[in-house]
Amino acid sequence: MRYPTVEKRAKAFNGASYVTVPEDSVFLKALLYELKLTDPDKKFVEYRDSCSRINKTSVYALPTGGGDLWPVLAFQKSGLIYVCLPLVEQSLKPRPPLISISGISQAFALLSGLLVFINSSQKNEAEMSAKVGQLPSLLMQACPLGTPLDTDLNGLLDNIHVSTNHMQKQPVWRISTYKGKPQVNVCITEKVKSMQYDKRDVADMWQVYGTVTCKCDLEGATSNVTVSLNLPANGSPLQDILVHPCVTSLDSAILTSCSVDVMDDSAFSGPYKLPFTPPSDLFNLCYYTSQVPVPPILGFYQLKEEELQLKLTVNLKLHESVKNAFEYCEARIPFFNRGPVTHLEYKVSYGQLDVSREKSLLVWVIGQKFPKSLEISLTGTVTFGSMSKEQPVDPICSGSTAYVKLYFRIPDYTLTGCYADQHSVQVFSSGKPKINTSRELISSDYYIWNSKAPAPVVYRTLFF
Amino acid sequence: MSVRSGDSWAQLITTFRAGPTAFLLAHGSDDTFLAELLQDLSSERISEQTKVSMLTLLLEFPTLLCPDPEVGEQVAGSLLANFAQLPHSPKLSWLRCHLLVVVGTVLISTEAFGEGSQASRDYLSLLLHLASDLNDQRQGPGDRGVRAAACESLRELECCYPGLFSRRLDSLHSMQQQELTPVHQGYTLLYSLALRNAVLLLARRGEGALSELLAGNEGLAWEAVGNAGAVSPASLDRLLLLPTPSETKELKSVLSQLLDGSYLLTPPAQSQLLWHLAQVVCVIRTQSPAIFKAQLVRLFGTAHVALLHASLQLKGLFTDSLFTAEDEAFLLRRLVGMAQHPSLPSPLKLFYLDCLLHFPENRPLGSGSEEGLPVLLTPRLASCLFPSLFNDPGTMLARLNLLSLVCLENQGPEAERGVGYIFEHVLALADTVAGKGGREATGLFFRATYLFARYFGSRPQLMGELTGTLVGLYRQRCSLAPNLINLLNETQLVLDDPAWTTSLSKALQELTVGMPLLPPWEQELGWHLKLLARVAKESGVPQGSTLGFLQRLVRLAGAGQLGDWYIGQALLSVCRNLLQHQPPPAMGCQLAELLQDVSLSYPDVDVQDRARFYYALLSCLSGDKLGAVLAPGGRLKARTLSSSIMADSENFAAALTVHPAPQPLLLLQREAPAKPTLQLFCLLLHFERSDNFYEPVPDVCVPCLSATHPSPVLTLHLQPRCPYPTELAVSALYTTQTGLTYCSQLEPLQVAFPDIFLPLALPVNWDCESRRHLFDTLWSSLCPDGSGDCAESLFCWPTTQQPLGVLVQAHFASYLVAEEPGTYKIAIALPPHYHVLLQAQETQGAARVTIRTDNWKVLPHLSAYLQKVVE
Repeated sequence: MRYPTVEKRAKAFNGASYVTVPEDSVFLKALLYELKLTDPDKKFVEYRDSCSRINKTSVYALPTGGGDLWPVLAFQKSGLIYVCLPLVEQSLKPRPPLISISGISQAFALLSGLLVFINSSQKNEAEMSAKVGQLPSLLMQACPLGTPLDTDLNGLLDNIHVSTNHMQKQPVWRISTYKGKPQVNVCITEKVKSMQYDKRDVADMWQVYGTVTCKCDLEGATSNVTVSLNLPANGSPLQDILVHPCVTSLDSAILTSCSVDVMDDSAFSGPYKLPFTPPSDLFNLCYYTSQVPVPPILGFYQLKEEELQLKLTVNLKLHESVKNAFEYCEARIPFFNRGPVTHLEYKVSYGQLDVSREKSLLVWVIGQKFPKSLEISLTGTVTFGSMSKEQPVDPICSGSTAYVKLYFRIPDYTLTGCYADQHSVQVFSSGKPKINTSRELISSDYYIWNSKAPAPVVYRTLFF
Repeated sequence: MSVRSGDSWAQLITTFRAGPTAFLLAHGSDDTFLAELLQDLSSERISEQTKVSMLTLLLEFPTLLCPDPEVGEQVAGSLLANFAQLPHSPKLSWLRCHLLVVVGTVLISTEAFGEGSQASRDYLSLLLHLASDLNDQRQGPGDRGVRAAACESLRELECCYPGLFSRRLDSLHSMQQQELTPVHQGYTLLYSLALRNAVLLLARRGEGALSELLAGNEGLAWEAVGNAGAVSPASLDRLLLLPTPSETKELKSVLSQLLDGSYLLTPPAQSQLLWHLAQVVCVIRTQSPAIFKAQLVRLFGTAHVALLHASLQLKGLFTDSLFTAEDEAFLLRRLVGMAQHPSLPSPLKLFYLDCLLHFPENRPLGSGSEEGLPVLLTPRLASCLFPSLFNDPGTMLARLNLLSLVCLENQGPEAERGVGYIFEHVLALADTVAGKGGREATGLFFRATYLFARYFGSRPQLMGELTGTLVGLYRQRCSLAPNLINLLNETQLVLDDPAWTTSLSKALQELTVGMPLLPPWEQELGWHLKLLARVAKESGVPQGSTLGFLQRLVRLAGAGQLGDWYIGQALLSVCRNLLQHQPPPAMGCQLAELLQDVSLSYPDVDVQDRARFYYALLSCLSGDKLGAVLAPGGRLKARTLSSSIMADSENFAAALTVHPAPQPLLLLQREAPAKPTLQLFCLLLHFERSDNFYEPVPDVCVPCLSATHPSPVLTLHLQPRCPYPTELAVSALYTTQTGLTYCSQLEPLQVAFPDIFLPLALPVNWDCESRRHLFDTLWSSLCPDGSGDCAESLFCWPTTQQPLGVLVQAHFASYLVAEEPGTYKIAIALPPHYHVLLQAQETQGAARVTIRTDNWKVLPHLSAYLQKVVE
């Protein structure tokens, strides 16, 4: 979409130094050039590979015939590039810092909205092109003259103007067309990341972060909902809480806990009350992080190269405080920069071990439960054939640097202990709605590194 | 014009979008397409959907379709008429929305908008009329979208012409207050913008009362059309208003009412509202910024980028009059937290990192436009932003940059430990390059190295270790040579003391010259020589070992073990840099010896020549001159000792390539000197025959063609095999001042039939009688006998316009052999050995030309020529 009136304003702010927005094909060429997506076959091209060309933000200056077009905001996701050129309401010489340009965050918001819309529930090419087909009309609503009025494109999809008697002003996003049984769904999804090294000089790292998603099917425009997130007595306080803009008010105590601080004992520990007027779609009510005292599964991995074989040992221990009821749990042991697995001898104390079809990965299926002892182990030797093109390569895992990655999901459980139940959802609306709450813990980037080789350190603290 | 089908329009629209300018050029004159577009927009046979897509062309490319304000005015008028005809059906509301938005866009962008324009006046009253239907009372909810579009169009007008509604603030305010449907957002944005503009313009004018402004209920301020670009946040600090207490109170109630309802708007609209109101409060000094306080907690907690940015902007505008020291510390902590929040996408986190480097502090120390750390951003706070190998490249480098600044600006064991960690991180990246890292890992490592050198280049121990790592990498992968050369160049530019660049060069030289010269060396040798050529530019690095290495190569070449052109050129590049950058007394003798060896024993002749040339330069020129001659871009560069030989650069291949010239620069003209616009060298003209009537034409060479000298006159020797006209294709090959060689096709050279006419070679002292006698003898000898090539023909000239005598004098004077009253005897020799004889006689009203020739095939050319003579 082009917005000639905005271009006209830009011209007024910049006079002679105004850079005209070129035609699409020229713009695209300049963009690909700037995003370093050209000349893929050449090893070193100065304009692209020079070490002084460092992009510290997603904002670019595109060289066009008439000068540099700036600030072009662009990000890439799943093979698509999302681009926007926001208006700068002042002279571009000298270039003002991004923080002083109102249009930058508007551009971020618009592109993020686009990205969410394109990536929501899109499975195949046909759906994708249907979505792209809807874009012009959605953009016309969201941003008819270049000033974003709304960035939630999914919300605009079923924007029907309902004839209701408005007694007072309603939130713009609350356009309820729902008819039927009222119900409210609240789901807490926690993800846990971990890097375990089993080394004296490197600290293990684990981090929990959560998202609370909501879907409120309520009739009428005047519905208000309050969700309270609760912690049990031994729960870990929620930090870095970010809330959806539909939340109408916040207690400042909710925001005080921040992961970048050293923990203080007086930290607020809930309940975290979030009053809001719900949008009609599914939305992320809030995000948080937390610091839990121990990782849910502690492991070590030892891998030694002996002549032509690899000897490996993996031990995993589920912490006793963690609910021992998985939907799935498996440990994947990939081998990079080597040939296919030709021979495998192993012993597992529990579960079962498979070799993947590509012969570059061992999958240890642990299943739904750890045994009573909560500890399991795997030992084995692996022999490899000669390296071929089909085998995966990885720049980090060279030599004996290697990892085990865990994949698991525990339903109805959170590491922080955070929960919402029937009583913690209050709905101010006609009719008594049905309230569903659920929670889950999912692993995300859960690595256990070979303790017998160097491993990449991801977390550094300057304090001991 | 008939109406196109929807499909045909869909196709046209696609082609148009793919290249609007090209489309309009191909489509003939612009207005036929526009006329067709406007006509079909009002056709009933075209679906609403198609019409909407047609309108988007006007929406996005109005100035292409409407080149001037008059056309803009007409188009707007036509679209308004179209709008008026559409019924108020919900089904058509989408089309009507588009029409409204398009009319505004056309009027504004073609600069047709103004008080004198009927369409503008109609458009504004239409918009105001539509907007006055508060709470759907007249048209019902089905028309709500059109009303929203009207509000948005009004907002855009106020935005482009700040102050347009500055005399109607009260009526805008009352609409804003009364509207309860979701369209209230449109009214709020319109009012807040108009208020902002009016207040800023009032402050700029310096006269007028705020209360009058707020209570304004008059017409439009058309003079605002001249205000484009007048209201910019950049000028805020120069503006101020000091209204009376009662005016302030009045304004305060307006502001509070807007702020209280702000949470009802979408986040981007909220952020606009906040920004407008913040500017108002900034100018009106009697209004405390504390009015925003109630919004802050909500803004601090938000996950939405536009709202968080709004709070940062409030911070920048009001500093400690709105944010206590505690608030500031809190906001900074939040920002650090968001810059690494695992739930946020990484472009957003990069933006927050950037905001940290321009954080609006209450008591700023720096200038604000440069990157700088907020004082409160301690190593302790920043430690969570340490880069890791799992970051995407942008995040990793941004974090590395920030952490480096933090460690640089702070002292103590924490900062020291930080530097150590950063260094470890750079080394970890080096390991990924040494492993199977591809282009991306390599690029990342060198960028990180560059950043590290920039910030910590003065720490000898770490930099020494880094040198070791880089040397180790080169030992493993010689193909990293271009990256290393680039690193040397770039760090030399940014380091205050480029000692590290020198020491890295030295270390790389040491490694390279010690490399065993064992096959297969060809590929690696190329990299080594490239690297040595770069090292040769370092005056602080002794070059003896480089020369030793080169001598070993030359010996190998002499023994026939290597010697291709490419290696030879790479070797000479090193020599060239040594010549240029190393003062001759230091190595003159050794280098001269080396060059002589190359010129004598290198297997490639081209390499020998170039070596000989360098040798000549070295032995004949003083050090200063040598430097000047070899300096890239020097004055001598464009001499025939072309830059392709002199300068070693990435453009070497380009210099060896003949490029097609973008347009012909030259024109061959017959003795009418035209001045070339550029200086060209070694111009070679090549002629290509179109037939076999002539002998091949040899190439012509012009050493130099310059604007400051008259064009040279070239003489072309054409040798006809047959006496016919012809055409010669001409191409030019030349070198420009930049040292590049181009090839260009020139206009073909026409050789017309009369061009080959020659007079008979008659002795000068012959009298008329002898000449007549010769002519008559020739005449009878060319009498056609039926067997040879001789022929006779007749031609008539009308002599009504010019008498025969004048014609003959004008065209055949040099061929006239004899003349009797009323009769002219003309003889023309045609090379190589043919003749044409003409006897022209005046008869009544015409001239009869009798022709005899010994080559009947020239007759068509001749008669065409004779025809032309009288035309």
